[in-house]
Amino acid sequence: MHSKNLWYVTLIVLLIALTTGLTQAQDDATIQLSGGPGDPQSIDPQQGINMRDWYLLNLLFPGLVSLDEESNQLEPGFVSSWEVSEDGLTTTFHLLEGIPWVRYNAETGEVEQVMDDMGNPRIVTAHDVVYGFRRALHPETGTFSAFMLAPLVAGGEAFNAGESDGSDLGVQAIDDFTFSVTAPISVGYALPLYSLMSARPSPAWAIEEFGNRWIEPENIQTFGPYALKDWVHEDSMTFVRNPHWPGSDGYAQARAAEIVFRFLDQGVSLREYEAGNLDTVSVPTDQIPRLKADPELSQELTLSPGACSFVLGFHTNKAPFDNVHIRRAFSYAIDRELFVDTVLQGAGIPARWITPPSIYLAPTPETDPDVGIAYDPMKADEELAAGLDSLGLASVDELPPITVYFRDSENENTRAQFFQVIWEDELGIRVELAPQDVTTYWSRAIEDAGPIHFAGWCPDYNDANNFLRDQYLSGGQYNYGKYASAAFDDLVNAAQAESDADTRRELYRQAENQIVVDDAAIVPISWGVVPTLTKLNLTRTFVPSSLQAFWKWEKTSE
Amino acid sequence: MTKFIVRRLSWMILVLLVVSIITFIFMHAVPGGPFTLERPLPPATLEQLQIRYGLHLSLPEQYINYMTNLIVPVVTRGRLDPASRSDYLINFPLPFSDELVFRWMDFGPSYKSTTRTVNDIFRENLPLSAQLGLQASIFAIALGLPLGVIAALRRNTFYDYFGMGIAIFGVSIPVIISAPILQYVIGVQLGWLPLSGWGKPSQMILPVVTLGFSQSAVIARVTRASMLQVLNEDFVRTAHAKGLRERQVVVGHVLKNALIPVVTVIGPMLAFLITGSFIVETIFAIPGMGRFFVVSLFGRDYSVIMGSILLLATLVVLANTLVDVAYAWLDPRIRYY
Repeated sequence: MHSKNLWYVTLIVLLIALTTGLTQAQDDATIQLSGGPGDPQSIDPQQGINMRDWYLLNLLFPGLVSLDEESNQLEPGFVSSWEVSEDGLTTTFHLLEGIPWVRYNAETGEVEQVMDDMGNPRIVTAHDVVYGFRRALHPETGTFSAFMLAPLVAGGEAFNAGESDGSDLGVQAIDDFTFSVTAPISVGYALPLYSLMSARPSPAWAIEEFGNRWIEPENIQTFGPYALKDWVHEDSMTFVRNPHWPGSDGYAQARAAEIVFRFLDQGVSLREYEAGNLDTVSVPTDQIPRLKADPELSQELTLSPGACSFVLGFHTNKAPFDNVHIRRAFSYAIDRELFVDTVLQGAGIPARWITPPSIYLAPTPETDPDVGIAYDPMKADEELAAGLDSLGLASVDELPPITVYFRDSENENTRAQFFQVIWEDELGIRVELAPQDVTTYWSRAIEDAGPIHFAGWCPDYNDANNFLRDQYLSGGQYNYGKYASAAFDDLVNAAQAESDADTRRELYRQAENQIVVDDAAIVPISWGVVPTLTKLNLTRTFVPSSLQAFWKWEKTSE
Repeated sequence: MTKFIVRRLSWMILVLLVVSIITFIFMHAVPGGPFTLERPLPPATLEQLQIRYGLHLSLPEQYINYMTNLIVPVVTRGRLDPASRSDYLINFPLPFSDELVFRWMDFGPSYKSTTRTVNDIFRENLPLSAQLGLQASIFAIALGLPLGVIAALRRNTFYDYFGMGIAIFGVSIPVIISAPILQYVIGVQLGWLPLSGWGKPSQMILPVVTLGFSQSAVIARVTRASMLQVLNEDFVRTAHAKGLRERQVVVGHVLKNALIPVVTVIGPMLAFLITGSFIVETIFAIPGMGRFFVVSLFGRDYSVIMGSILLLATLVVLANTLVDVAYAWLDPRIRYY
């Protein structure tokens, strides 16, 4: 039979392939990482949208300043120093002189300096910084994070809305290496915002020459600790050490010669790690029990604090959650410890307020044991009774049907089922679950959020302001539950205008109490913990946000 | 026959038109759009983005723009570099001038990438899916067909039970279960093969086997059923009676006639395998086309949705046409008018 011959051919092919597969070697100088499935949206500073875009382009385009993950202190990025004017409005940065723009030359295999038309090396100047700010705020760029930067640059909001030509924009190159930016208001968190991804220096000449394709490896020009060596779309990205980067406190010179990000799904990443092909991976929570039980892998497992928070939001205009007692009852009824132990397998910290303690100026469990809300079945019953009483209802059966909205994923389904059981046990109220696909969920959250909806937040910059004022100010665009409280607004507005850190910390403490206890508009559930496996021969740091300081990482041969 | 093929292909144009309209209406009917993100964009930014991509126009206008870019060929002047190449799927320089380029089929930009268009995705990612799909199809046929034939010829013996046992196993274990298990056992525990990626032959074995095995099970079952039916036909007895050897009877008479249902199954299977499998490509990290079918739906990446559905529809129609042509060869009684 012919098909029999085919069989043999297939077998032989399989055997040949098998033997070629066995000759693979690992390179010590290269750190192998997983970057999640699929291509990043963009590594253009002004076009990047999500955390992954940001941590990738952070290797190529350092910020003015950066926050040290251990000391929580601001450190210089590509500047030597900066000063703030007495009125607190103008910040002047002195750039490191002579940082060259570089590109990777695939023919020589070297990172080389970029020359201008006259044959002189191009260096990073204040004009490049101005260009980055302007491009970020230009309405036609469509920069996602422009709305955060615009209020802190004089004339920025009008320019970003297309109402002015930007000639009065408060950014200025005083000379080639002195950059100043002027804000219309003085706020305590301006520096981290001036280092936002979209406010990074960008090579105007390359963007003009190559258009959207300027970020392809053959076109891109960068200046940070690493340069882009290769980008196989949908497959991987390779970064190579930039020997021309001088190094600064915030962005040291790179240690590892190369870093490869493979675009892998989480399940594959873990298996690749176990096969020895990745040096560090984040781990799905359902794998934690197995890893803890494994004598070898448990040595490599780290649970490090994250920067994200998971909360539930109430729609404060929708019955029955227009009643503060009902909201409090639902919040007091949740045993956060149980949630973290069972649903999150320990990969979380039970939250009593919104802002994770790892965030600058957030309350911490050690210093603020009395702030926030926690599981309290007695209070839950009292508040429920008070709520029913004020609504004139005899029992919970007379409450309108309650639906919980969340994104349809395995993780969120498990979480939702947990809350469903808890509320039925504690309050005797049966809620309906409504999973939705992710885009439907967000478009609904924006237009007409559900009575209870899952919410979470990962910081855009490291300051409690980002979790509180940016999200829950009355009328804010992320305030899905239409929370409106004059008391809360006053606290976060006062904190924004205050420059003294201790006063701000106290104001945020009060604001947290206002929103999660007094008004109970938000139910804090857990603060993120990132479970990570790391090979013992990789030295790495853990930054709570995913903006890892990859340049500090190093692999040693065993 | 030629007339038949020409007629089928002209029908295809109508089918594609209807498919494109239905897809377009449905994808705009679901809530949200390509710029619906976890953090909503400010109105001014959103408006700029919508203008840039023509999403501020009415739906009929958007549809007409899309179809015009797709159907109408253009001739442009200028050097053909990677940047301009990505604007159209088909680009070739015209012979009578250095500068003129004939360009056709613009499937539009991907809203989820600032550098790549759907044309790039077709050019760079589709071939990988096609490689995987073709290899998996060959594997599926090479395994499924003999299994089915043997099971039919040795009906109710150990061979039959064994073959059909494998088939039932293949049909019942979804790829999403079998792929990670294979990966873990063969890649991690035994270390025989690389777990993921695409390019080296060793990287191809696991995904091809995973994808092919589940399909071979279908082929084996159909082949067996069809063979059993044909074995009872009068002409098989005649063939035996006129003294043909067993092998000639089985291959020349039984199998050939039994193939009609099998070919009917294989045709569309081929079309689906070539356009990629989301699960297999995700688990084995193959940068193919399959991911885009699913990711584009969730991300409301309109032009990728349109492009991938039109691609799939084209291949299904073509595959079915090939199947019809194959009927005529397998069974000369079938005629086309």
